[in-house]
Amino acid sequence: MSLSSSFILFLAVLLPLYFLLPHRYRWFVLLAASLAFYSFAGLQNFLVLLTLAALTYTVGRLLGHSLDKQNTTLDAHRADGSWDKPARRAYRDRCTARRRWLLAVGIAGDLALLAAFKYSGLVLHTWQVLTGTEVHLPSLLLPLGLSYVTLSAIGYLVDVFRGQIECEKDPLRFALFTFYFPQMWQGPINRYSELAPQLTTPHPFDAERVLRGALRALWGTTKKIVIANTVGVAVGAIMQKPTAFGGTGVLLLIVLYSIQIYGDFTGGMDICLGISSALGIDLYENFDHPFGACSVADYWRRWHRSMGRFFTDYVFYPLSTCRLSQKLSRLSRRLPLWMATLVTWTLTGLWHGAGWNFVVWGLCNGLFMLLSQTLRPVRRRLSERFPCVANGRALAVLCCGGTLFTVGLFRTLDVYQNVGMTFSLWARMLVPDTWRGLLDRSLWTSLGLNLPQWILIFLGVLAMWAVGRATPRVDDKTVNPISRYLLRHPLLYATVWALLVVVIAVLGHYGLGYDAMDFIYGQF
Amino acid sequence: MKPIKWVGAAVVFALLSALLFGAAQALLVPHDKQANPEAFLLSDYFDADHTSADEVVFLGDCEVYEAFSPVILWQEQGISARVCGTPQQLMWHSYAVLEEVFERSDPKVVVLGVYGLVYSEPQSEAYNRMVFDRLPASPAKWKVLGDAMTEGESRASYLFPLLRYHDRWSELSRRDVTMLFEAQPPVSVRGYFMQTGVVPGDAPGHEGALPPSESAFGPMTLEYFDRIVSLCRDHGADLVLIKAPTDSWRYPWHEEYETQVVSLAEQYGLPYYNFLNEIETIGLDFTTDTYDQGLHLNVYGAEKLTSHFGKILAQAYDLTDGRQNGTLAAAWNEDITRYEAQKREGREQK
Repeated sequence: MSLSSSFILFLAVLLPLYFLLPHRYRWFVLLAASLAFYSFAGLQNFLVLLTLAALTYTVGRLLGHSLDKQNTTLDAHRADGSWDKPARRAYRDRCTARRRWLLAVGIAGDLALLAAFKYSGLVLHTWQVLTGTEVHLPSLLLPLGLSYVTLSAIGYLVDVFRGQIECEKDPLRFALFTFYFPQMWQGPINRYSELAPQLTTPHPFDAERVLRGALRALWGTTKKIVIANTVGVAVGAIMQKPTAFGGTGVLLLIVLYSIQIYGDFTGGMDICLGISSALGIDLYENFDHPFGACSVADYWRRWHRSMGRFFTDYVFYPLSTCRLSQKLSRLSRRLPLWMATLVTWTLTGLWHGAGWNFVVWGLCNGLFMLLSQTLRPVRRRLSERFPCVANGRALAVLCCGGTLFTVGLFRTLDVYQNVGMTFSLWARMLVPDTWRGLLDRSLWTSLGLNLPQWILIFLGVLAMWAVGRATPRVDDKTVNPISRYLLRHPLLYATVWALLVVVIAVLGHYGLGYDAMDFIYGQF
Repeated sequence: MKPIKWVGAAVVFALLSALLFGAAQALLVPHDKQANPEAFLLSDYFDADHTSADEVVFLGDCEVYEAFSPVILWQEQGISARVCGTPQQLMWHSYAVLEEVFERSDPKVVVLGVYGLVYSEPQSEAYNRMVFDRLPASPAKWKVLGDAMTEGESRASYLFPLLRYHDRWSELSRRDVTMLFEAQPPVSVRGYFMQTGVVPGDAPGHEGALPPSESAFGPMTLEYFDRIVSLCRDHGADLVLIKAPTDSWRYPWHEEYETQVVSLAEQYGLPYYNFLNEIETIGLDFTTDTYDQGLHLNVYGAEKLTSHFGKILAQAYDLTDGRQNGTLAAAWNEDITRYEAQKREGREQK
């Protein structure tokens, strides 16, 4: 079930049912709705996710059981004094080693499922290219949300292993954590400790919250269908003939794809978070004004935050502090950081897509961040020497623009897919004619959009910027002033709703033979 | 939060969105009849007065709406008839149209072109639009839509055509706005779509045509044919099957088709007239009576065919000579004037 008319019907049934039932039954409704929602993705996909949930649940239980047994045994021996400290440590180490194996099995199982559906094509294709042997490429479709749910499941297992959370004993509650429907399109990657308690906690009906969530979801739909999908036409035109547009095409793509992916991903998130919020469940905020970032590292703290948090906590930190890193630090103090960063970003790239272009994309991001970190002392010295420039607004704007350009440039790897060609197109940007090409009217008309549509994109960007500016940062827990104001003025709220509905219906880019709610990040 | 205010807000939302949606739909759904006249053939039927007086109704595709002229039936036999044809009208389209026809009138004879039987599956969204965008919302339309839609189409877009045509917003012209406030003349004369050109062709024959891809008529086609027969019987109307006297390598009338139609006619006890067998009796001359080398008839061919068929209808069925009815005759006179004007204009253009 995509975000279609049947999904609107699904919500129209779910919301009243959810709030009309007594508190203790509500999470059952949510579970039933989530399972019903996912069953629309097909039986095979349903079974894949069910296997993932069953495996993670079982390993989680075993980890929890092992930890409980270890603690009970240790407490007993501590109480009767039968084991001295070294004996207790030895026992604890044995238990930890066993749990580490269990964790490895759980993670490997989860990753195997993901790999089978997401990476088998890449592996076989690479094998075919390297060996020249004909390999039958299976056409396995990635089950909806598997990339996101796998990371959530791994995070859960690691947290149980670390003793940060208790394992879930109720399989149905765990199924709800896995299948919770709003996270299925494109995340966020949820932490068990944050999401699971909310799923089963009673949420009294809060009309304001429902209306706020509904407004957010509607605005997200506008961003996706009206702005992102329209820009997507021009992006698609450049993608089809990358060399024909040359360096000018890269410049345009940096800007246009940034707009598209922003509208698409943040729009999708607004829909998911808005719906979830209406149900009384707050999902992790995946964005925090990403286009206001003043460095690439800062950008990645603001864009797709749940993914950044996952890779930082479960890949980067463990890698930086592992034994190998300690050995490497003897060679050079910075070596563990470089190793951890590059591995983390390679995995981030691979997670984004089963293609070598994504690996290169990840490495570009990682290398750029390491480079800017290495140059930090130089920058500091420069800002001490020229404080007026360093503290000026112009530099901030320049940094911000530079960051957007860099991130956008790397992103072209995602669009062009062919790494060699992308690099050669980057080089063609340096040709002076590139910038002059932007003034060529025929370029703009060849992108499949007419003047009113370009004006629509411009107005859409303005609207996204204005709403974004009014939205508080994630750390600021105040309510969005726009929704607060509209909720105080019901007639205005109703008018905005009516206008947005008609704007989506009329100006939206959707129609025959086109899945308007096909999210870019939904494919990752 | 005061509930009463939110009830008011809900009402405002409903009214405002309905108003804006309705206005956008009126503007964006194609409404310039002259831009694509054949797409509006059914509009003429639903916009027309005196449909209740129709005694003969024709259903079918271009073979029908370009081959039978109700004006000739009226002038020669006094039969009040109307053509409810549309481009590539398939059996399910004919059935949906017939449901509406019986809502508005009580025809004694329903004439069905058999070329629609050849197609066993939905063919094109464009031709679906030419029928379902014109039919008023009804349970019958809703049901038939499920069978008639091609891949990717949705019922919602037929209920709210704005969802299909919304992307015209960026191509709107001044004419789209002005046409909203202008009364547009019918594109046909009682459903007959006049062609006045003459592009001679050989006598009918389908030499060079590929053999039929499916020799047997499809199950859905036959199911809708059966429904048409039942609907006519329920309303006491006689169903007559016809094949227009046109045949070409592009749209051939294969022997396999003919055999099946004959057998269907026998099975249901229906009269079937294949005018391909009566070309000489009708007096058709394919050097003057076709506008596209024999694929369709022009007005001169249509008049000959209608005159011939009119005699058959008058003889075989108990039809009223409506020329004595003053009100009806007055309405017909308007149509005849328009018909003659169109014909004259066509002749002058030649």
